[in-house]
Amino acid sequence: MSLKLFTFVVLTLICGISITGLHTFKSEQIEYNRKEFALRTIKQLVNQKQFSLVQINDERYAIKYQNAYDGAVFKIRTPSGYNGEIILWIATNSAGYIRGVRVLEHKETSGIGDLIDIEVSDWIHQFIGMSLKNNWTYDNSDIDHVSGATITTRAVTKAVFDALKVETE
Amino acid sequence: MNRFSQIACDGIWRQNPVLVQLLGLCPLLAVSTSFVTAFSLGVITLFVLTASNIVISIIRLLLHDAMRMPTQIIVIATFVTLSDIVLQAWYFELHHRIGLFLALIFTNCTLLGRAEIFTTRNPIANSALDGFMMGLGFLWVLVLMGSIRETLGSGTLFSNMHLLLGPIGENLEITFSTKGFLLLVLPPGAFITLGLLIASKNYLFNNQE
Amino acid sequence: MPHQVCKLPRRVNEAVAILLTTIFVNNFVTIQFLGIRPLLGASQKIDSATGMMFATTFVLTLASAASFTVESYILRPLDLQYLRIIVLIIIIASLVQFFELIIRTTHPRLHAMLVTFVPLITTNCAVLGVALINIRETNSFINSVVFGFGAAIGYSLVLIIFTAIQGQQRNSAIPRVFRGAAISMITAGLLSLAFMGFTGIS
Repeated sequence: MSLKLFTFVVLTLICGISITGLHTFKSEQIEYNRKEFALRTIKQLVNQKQFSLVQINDERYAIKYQNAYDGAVFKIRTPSGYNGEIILWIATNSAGYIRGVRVLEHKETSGIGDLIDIEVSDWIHQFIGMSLKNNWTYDNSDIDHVSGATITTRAVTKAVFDALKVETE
Repeated sequence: MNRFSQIACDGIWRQNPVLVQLLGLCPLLAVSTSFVTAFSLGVITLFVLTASNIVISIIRLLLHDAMRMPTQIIVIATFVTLSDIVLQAWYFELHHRIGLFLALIFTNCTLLGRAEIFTTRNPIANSALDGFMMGLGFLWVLVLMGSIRETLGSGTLFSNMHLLLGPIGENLEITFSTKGFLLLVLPPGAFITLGLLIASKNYLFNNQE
Repeated sequence: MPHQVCKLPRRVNEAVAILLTTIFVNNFVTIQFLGIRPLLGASQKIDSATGMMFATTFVLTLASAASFTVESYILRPLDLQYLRIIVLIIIIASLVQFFELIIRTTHPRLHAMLVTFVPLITTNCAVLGVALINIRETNSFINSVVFGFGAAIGYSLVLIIFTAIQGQQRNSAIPRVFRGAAISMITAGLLSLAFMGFTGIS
């Protein structure tokens, strides 16, 4: 019995050591990947060749270009998606124009409301270059609301508009 | 040799884990929306199953049968965790997509590994082969389902291969049509595709006999 | 969400939302594919389906409570999140065994009813699934218990519907190649299609 118990304990130890070993060996790489993955979307959004990002908090980065402040990238949320919360990144420049918008998380119906996702369609690109001067009303909007997915697209549009309004003021 | 070919035949066709034993359905249905996720998960399952079968059959010589559940749980869970870490280190974006179901292959491997290793007194080579063939049986059904659902559901094949192959995979995507049959990528499509696959298997099997 | 629910305090509101979502919108079986094998196994008779229902509800609720506690009081403070899979597996497996032992000594009759289903449950993807999804989705102990309970209720709902449909199918002329698992899968597909109709309810 003691031999068997011993074998079992040794087995457990070997398993524990191998996992911990591999993790310690690779944890820096994993941490790097995680940051890189999170930053990649943000970098794409800025839509500019040379810039640097200064992290202000978890949900906001300031964009600096040649040491001057040139807009921000920040996270916004809207609870009014078709299936609940939609989380977006939005990037602006100092003149109040949108550099880009990207959906980070959503639960919209696949095939219908998920057109806001960049992997599914280019719908979200419509926001690039817009500012408060554009027409944001529902009926005659500069944004193309897709029939069948109006709840989703309106929720996103309203969220972007509200955020832009707050940001510009 | 005869015994080996029998094990191979059982794993891949006659006792196919998916089509006959109906095991591993949760990851199968969930990741078969595209070729790349299906293929990756299939390969990981193949690895975990083979590796854990080898380790368990070695340890089994030293341990009492009463210890089989804890041994099995620890060994399989270790291999699953190891592949999880490897995936996070080298294929982070892929991990982002199939992470949850990676953990769930634990349940599969426990079910698949159990019968063959502990009920019969198999030498190590046999149980390794058994794990490999069962994994292969799982892999081909998974890949087939992934291809069918991606081709008909989204109208493409091999999209996002760069997640697995790096830059080489960027241009592998084949587009058949810009619009797909939506139902197939949605959850119901998974069940229906699998139902039709099982039916076709039954059809072929009946004709064989 | 129903109108009167909105007047309740935020925490209750949130819990109700989680409950409804896990039962209907993100149903474990039809939308997330968890626990399909036991579904096929236990849906032959309504008796076994009922037994399975109680056992699953119990285990899933327990598993999500355990996973939340382990994640937020042990793994996260000690920065051991990479051990999550292995720790959860071991803890849930032993918890189920432990409670089986308690019920066996204190409530033998209840135990006799549930005992045949315990092995089906410990090898159920849904148990590990509920633990892992729970960690990702919920943020408090109450919410995670509600999440597990809702998942189990959703599971039971599908189990009962599925058992009833299979009972009906016994008398119908199913093409030979579709008999058995194939028709069950197609049925599950149609059920899943029906559950897709709940999308958007929250």
